[in-house]
Amino acid sequence: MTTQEYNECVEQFSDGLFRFIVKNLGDRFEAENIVQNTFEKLWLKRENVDFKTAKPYLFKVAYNNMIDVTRKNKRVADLEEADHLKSEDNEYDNLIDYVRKAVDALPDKQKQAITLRDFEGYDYRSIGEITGMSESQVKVNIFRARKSIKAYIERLEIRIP
Amino acid sequence: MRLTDDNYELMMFDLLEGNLTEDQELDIMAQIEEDEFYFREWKLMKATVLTPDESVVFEGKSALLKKDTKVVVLHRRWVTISVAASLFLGVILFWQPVPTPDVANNPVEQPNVEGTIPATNTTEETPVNEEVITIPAHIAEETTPVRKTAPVTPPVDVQDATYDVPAQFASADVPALGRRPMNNEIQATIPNITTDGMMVSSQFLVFDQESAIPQNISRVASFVTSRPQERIKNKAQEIYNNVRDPKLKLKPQMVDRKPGLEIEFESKGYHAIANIQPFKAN
Repeated sequence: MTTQEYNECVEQFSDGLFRFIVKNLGDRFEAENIVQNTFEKLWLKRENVDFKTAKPYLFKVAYNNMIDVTRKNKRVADLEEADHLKSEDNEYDNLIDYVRKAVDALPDKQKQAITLRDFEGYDYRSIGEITGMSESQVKVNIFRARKSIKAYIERLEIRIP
Repeated sequence: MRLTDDNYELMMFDLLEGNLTEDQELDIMAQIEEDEFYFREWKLMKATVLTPDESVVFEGKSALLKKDTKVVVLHRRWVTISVAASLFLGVILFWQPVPTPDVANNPVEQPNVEGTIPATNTTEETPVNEEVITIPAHIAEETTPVRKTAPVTPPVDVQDATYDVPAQFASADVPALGRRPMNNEIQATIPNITTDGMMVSSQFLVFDQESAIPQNISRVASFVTSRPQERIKNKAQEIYNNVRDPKLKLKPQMVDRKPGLEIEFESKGYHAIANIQPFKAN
């Protein structure tokens, strides 16, 4: 990978990587550190990383760093507590916000899998390579995530156009 | 495949993820549109697709960007050759070896520090109040050896040297050789030298132990000079010592529509010009 290709990776993938980390960690400061460390590692390993595989490499490295931080700050997810977030006006404009809140409450594996799927468009195999899960495990986690979010939305009685 | 209460969520999930064939998708969609419950469930399933928040951006991009260091690669052979020749010429001209001191004529005297043993044996009278130890000469040489090097013989210009041809070789067609001392030591081999300056297998010269005259005299005529490497080195050293205020000029030029490089070296006592042009290898 040349210097120009590395800079291209920074321009193309830094935002998406940052959103993925922020979504899963919920901490912008930690997310910035992880993104910086990830790109520094890419720079050091640039001769061994091809530009075409740079994106999954970045997400994999960032994912591993994120896991280390997550283990330090363990969070318990409980979608049953979402009742108090029941929408008052049931407007569609709040749907996206409630869905994001529902994702925040998901277990880590489910949240990581569904964010990689919907934010970056990775297939099950790529998600498995990044997270260390098998394809079937990825599919199961995404299914459970969608089922939980669907149930959460349904419980809030949000009007969907 | 038919939607049921047990499988509709998984079917809708596969439909949403794109895990079904086109025919399967059309079949499932038809059943969804026909049933109100399945239709509402499908809308809820579609709402679970996340959209990234574009307002969340990484603000430290500029700190991550790296600058590209350009490396100039010389593709043209003549440019490479001219640059290499210039560098070689510059090294040859500006490199000045450290002159070796003539210790044999000017022996190095160690400082006579009070309380230390002086290097040379002194017979001068020393004051009573000074503690200077006088040691015998042979002991002084053993304990404090003084480095002695052979005197540097001045380079001999072959063209100006005279050669006294012994009577035995008066009839032989021997080229003029530089004066060099003859000794009675047996020399079994000599360095590899040739008349045209190339290296060949060594020629053996067998010297007579008494007169130090080479027996295979016919081979003597094939040598232009002895020790050419040393002669060249001495000549180069002479030039280095005499070069003052050197100036090097490089002038790119076109000669007969061919690019070239003129290298001019000028100093006090020396002036040289070299022209370098590309050529096609045979």
